[in-house]
Amino acid sequence: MFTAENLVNALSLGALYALIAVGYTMVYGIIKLINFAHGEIYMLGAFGALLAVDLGHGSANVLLAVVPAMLLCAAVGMSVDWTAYLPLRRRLPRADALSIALLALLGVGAIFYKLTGDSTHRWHAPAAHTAIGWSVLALVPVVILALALGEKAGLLGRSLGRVHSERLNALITAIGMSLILQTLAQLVWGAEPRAFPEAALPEFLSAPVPLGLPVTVLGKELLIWVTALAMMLGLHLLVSRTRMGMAMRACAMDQETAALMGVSVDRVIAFTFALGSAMAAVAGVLYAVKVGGGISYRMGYYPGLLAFAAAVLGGIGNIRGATLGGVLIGMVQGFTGGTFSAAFLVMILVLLVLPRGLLGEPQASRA
Amino acid sequence: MSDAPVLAVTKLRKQFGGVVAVKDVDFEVRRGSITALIGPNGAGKTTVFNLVTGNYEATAGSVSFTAPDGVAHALVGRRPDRIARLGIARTFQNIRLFGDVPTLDNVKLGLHSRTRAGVLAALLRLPAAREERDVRAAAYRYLDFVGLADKSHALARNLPYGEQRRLEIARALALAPSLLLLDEPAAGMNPQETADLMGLIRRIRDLGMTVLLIEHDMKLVMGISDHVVVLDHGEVIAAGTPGAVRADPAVVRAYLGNEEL
Repeated sequence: MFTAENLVNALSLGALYALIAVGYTMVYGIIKLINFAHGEIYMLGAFGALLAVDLGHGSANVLLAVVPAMLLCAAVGMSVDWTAYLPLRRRLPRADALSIALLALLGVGAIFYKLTGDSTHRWHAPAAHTAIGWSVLALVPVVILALALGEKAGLLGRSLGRVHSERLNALITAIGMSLILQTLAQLVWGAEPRAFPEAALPEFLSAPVPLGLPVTVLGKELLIWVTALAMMLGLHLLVSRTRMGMAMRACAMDQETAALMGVSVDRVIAFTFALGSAMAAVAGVLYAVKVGGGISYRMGYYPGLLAFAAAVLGGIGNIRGATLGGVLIGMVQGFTGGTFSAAFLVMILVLLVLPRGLLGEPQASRA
Repeated sequence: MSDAPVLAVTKLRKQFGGVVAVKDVDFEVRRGSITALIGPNGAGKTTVFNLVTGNYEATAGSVSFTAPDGVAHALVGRRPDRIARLGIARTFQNIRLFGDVPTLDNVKLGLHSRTRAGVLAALLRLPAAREERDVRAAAYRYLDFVGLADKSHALARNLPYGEQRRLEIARALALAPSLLLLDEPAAGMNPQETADLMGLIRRIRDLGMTVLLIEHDMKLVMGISDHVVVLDHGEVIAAGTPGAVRADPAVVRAYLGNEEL
């Protein structure tokens, strides 16, 4: 329970959750969407680094591979926004069509999960997975084409447009995107968990750091703390001191007015996705380094949920809150031996007392 | 400078479902003028503003904006941020400041679009102390211009109503627009504040900007406008000099009703 070893572990987990949680909270702050695909971005970060290491043929080490992983995730994060969420925000005619397409995919994805065996063997049938996975993906263009044709023929659009509720559509779309990204990762990298090759891991990562503490701190733990601290500091400077940061804050306060001040809202949103995604990528790589493997298409699910809980716990939309929430959830996880229910229990208890989270501000009433 | 009107609105139409809010409206705003858009509540004035600034997309018709360099831009279908960057800034009927930040920061946001840096440049540049000083100095000048220099650190929402309206003007001016749209700038002001506001609007015009305003205060409208356009039920019912418009029977009917019939 409350041992020094657990504290070290808890701090590392907290740092990782914080890195993921800021992505949830920044996106929510600006477009009021819980981007449930964010956990998958974290997963793709680890895979991206693995890919870079593989391509580097032993000469690449993990610390360098973080950079391409961040770039990959920034690109994927923006693409997710452009393909899935932007059409919903803009109320384009094809928004309904895409939404339905993604819902259909969600359904197929659920069936796919159901079909692939019992719980013990679910993740050990790569061949069957690949076959079903490809057929799910093959459905994407078919469904989209069918809907596009339907729209051309005037069957969609107006009649469906009346019943839609935008926020909910975007949320379901996000869940669908999460499943799509998982499926894609599984197709590309298979179902078996992977690990970085030993050669890619610098030695200092697994060596104890002489900090003079009564507990052993390995290099990788220190790396996680230092990286997370530096990134949080950098994020703070970016948001508070740069023009882009000012534009982000303006968009979070009032998008319409920000646009009339010449702020390109779409660009700010794309940047926000890219930034949050790059931070999640770092967390994904660091996690794989920390546990010495576990790079799997499923790895984003629980950390994603926990980081979401952290963001809500801290007061969603508030970056410092997400950081605080991340550390808190990390503590709970570290000291309870990774009990998910404990983390959510803490979140629920905090929300009972502070419904807007630790640092959440009362909803600004717009004049 | 070009002789073409700053703004030429042609057959502009906006339908919300079955309601036609703006019905084939035509009018022009001459460069360097103060033009007023007036009419009873619900006449479609703010809708016209929203069509010009790109917040609404027109159902039909066109809006042409001629920049000071003489280049004409079609505004319909253009995004609000692009329109703002062309040089059209506005204020709102119901004040829309960033209330939880200081007044100076509100103005700094207006300055945001002035430097044309891309995402990457903005990212890489934690602005040098010098640039930050320049931006602050410029923001101060705008606050000073509207008479709020001593309120730079106050949170925008803590300002009295009249000062909030002036802060909105300062923020819009920070965009260095060639056309300024003011939506009921005198609403809720006492006579003294309104008189000050008239002076401010004249000074803005004297800087070379063109002003298009919506206003219910007839003293203000008749006192400073060069040209008045009257809307009723989404249609232009009269246009001309303040004196001509005031005498127009159609305008009198629109405002006073048609009880004699």
